[in-house]
Amino acid sequence: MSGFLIKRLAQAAISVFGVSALIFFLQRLTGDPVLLMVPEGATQEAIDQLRATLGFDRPVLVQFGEYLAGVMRFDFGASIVQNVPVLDIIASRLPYTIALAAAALALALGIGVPLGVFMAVRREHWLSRIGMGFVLAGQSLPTFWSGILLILLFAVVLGWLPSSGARQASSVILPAICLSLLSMATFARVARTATLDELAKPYVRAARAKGLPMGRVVTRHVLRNGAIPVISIAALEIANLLSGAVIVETVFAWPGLGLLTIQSIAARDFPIVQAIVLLGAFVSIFLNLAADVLYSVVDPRIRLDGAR
Amino acid sequence: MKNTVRFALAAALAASTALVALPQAALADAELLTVDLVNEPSSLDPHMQWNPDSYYVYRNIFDNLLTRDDEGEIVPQIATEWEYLSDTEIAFTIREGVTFHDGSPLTAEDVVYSVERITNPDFGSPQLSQFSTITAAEVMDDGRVKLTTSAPYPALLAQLVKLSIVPQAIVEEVGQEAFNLNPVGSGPYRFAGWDRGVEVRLERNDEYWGEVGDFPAAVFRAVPDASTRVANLVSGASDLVVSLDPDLAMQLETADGVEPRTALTERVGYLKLNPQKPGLDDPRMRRAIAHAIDRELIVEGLLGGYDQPVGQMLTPAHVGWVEGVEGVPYDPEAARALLDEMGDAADRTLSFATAPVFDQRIVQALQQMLTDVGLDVEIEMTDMSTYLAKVRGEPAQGPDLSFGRWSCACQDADGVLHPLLHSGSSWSAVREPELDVILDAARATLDEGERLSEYAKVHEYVAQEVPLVPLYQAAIIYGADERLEWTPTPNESLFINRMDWAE
Repeated sequence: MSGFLIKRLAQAAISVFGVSALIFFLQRLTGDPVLLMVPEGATQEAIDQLRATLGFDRPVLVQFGEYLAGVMRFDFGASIVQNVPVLDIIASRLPYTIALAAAALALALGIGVPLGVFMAVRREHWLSRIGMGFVLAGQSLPTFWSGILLILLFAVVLGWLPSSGARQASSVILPAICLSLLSMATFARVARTATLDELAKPYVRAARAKGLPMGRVVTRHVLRNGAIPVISIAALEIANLLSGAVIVETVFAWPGLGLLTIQSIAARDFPIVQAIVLLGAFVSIFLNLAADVLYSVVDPRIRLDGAR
Repeated sequence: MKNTVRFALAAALAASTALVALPQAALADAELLTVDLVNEPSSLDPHMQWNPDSYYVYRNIFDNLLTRDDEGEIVPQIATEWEYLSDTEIAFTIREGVTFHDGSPLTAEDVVYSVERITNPDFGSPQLSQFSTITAAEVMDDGRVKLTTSAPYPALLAQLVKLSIVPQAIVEEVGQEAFNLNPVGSGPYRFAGWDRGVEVRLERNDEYWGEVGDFPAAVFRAVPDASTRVANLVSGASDLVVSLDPDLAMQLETADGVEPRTALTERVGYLKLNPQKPGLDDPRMRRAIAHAIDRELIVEGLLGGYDQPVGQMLTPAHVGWVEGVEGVPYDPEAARALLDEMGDAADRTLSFATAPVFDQRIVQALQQMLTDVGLDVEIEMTDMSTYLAKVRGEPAQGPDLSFGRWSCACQDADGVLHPLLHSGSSWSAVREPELDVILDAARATLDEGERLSEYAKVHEYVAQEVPLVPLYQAAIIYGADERLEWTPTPNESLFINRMDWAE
């Protein structure tokens, strides 16, 4: 177990370094923040001056070295555009994204998994047929469109919920529903397939033969064995929720990291983009590791000794 | 499994409720003006950025040296009057009895400090180029403030409309970063709070020396999606929203209780041609391109009729606008004839640079119009940063054509024609010594009549040689609660103290 962890952590460190180097140089290839900051018609001298003030006139390798040294000290610099330390900006935005992603994940798991299991156990039930249609719709609706539909229905026509922003606690409901739709469909589909696979296995017949009621077979045995694919998908889905948040946050003006990412990329605010990408790399690597560890908790047959 | 799900659900809901439980707006709805911007301000230090969303907010917190009234005339604000001591020296009388929001008086020293701060190259203000002709600022013996420019600069007053006055003592005491987070000005509204990414709150300055606002408080929110801004307005969540397109404006026409408000701005939509490229170095090809474009159709058919076609590279809101200048008329037959005359030289694929911030329907319509007369045009869409690098670079390597919407935010021809046409400017693809002489002459005199006659020559040159095809004076479209009394202006300001509810 510890050997496995050390190996995986070493891999993670290399990945994180690679990602930060990649994003650092790629960004500098794609444009210049200074041109976006100055008014039209700004003279070349004024542009050069601002570039020098921001330190962009130095060789890129020097800038990269300085950036790495800063990261080691947990100093991510200050936003070029906002003139505020990057950590302050991210710290003010991160809770919103966590809240949104957590609410969406709860909705997706809480509705998607039971729906999938139901569709597997009661395949011929009319609810299962409707459920399949729901899964298809959830996967094919683009969020920027379903988001606007939700706003029009619940905020403009019915007036039940706030249309955008984060002034009230109820503001999270619409974006969370919108963000959860895609994952909900995925969970339902995966839970259904996994449950069907398990139901076809001999132990189910054996359990039924010894007189166990179907409900207990499902809750005691099938669900537990069927959880493995759901967990591995959940790790991927959290990453998907975070990237889906980019669009959902824009539509609902939800002040999370997704919106910040879009705005920072558009403004070429390098320090913020670098910090967000680094954070994203950490999150996805950690989630995968967590999923691997969870496998062994759920299914003791899986060992994490790295030897197999 | 079930328990885990239940636990996760409960935990997530608890976490989300705790994290987003923000203070409710305490004021009654009618007391609070809610404005939806596109983005939140990047900074509220008036010298540290240059973008509309920041300007909308900070202009209510700070007074400027000069301002414009609703008719667009330059009028006093912190300066009550001004007098030219020579062609390069101008003395401003500073208004007495103005106090900053902390109670300290605004003095001539604060004005001098503000000028020196924004013109200090090491300070790194993005607005530096607008004020870089100012070489010195000092308090004179009679208490007036004297500004000295390196040469006569006729657009100086128009530029000083944008100079916000900051309190020297506070800026020096708290430092730049803290001032940005907690700005103190002398304007009609004071800074009351900023939830990052969510909203900026302002409250009325009851001690304001000028017109005290009717709204006790205002809040500016960041709502990037235009459809969401419209939904907010229609559902009553906001009172005023910015940056709508003609389609959304039409949607507001049919909705109850809200309406679009538009104004013609000082932005000019234009097509820039690159005379340094093969084919385009022939004036016949440039004229053919101008003949191929139907401005009326673009404005009426695509822009909903809110905008106004122009035949010169300015708008009537600019000093330098010459009445009666006709652009190159729409005449596709003449365009085809000119291209036929050129023969094979016109047979080349032209690259057409654009960026997502522009209305792509216009770009595609232009491409279609040029294709109709027999040209081969390929649209090259890149992000704004790359686009700017391309159109500003060495013209020989630049794109053949580019679409743009020019704003100098100064309403003076010098801020448009000089950068776009002078060979010394990196925004210009024109290398014409005779034109440089005219542009420099128009910049070197304070006599408005003389300047107008020089700019008439420039308009003549543009119509003859076609380095640019002026297209239209852009409109800005806001959406507002129909009870809101407020008229938008060409310089795109949102002065809250000029707004009120209709009775």
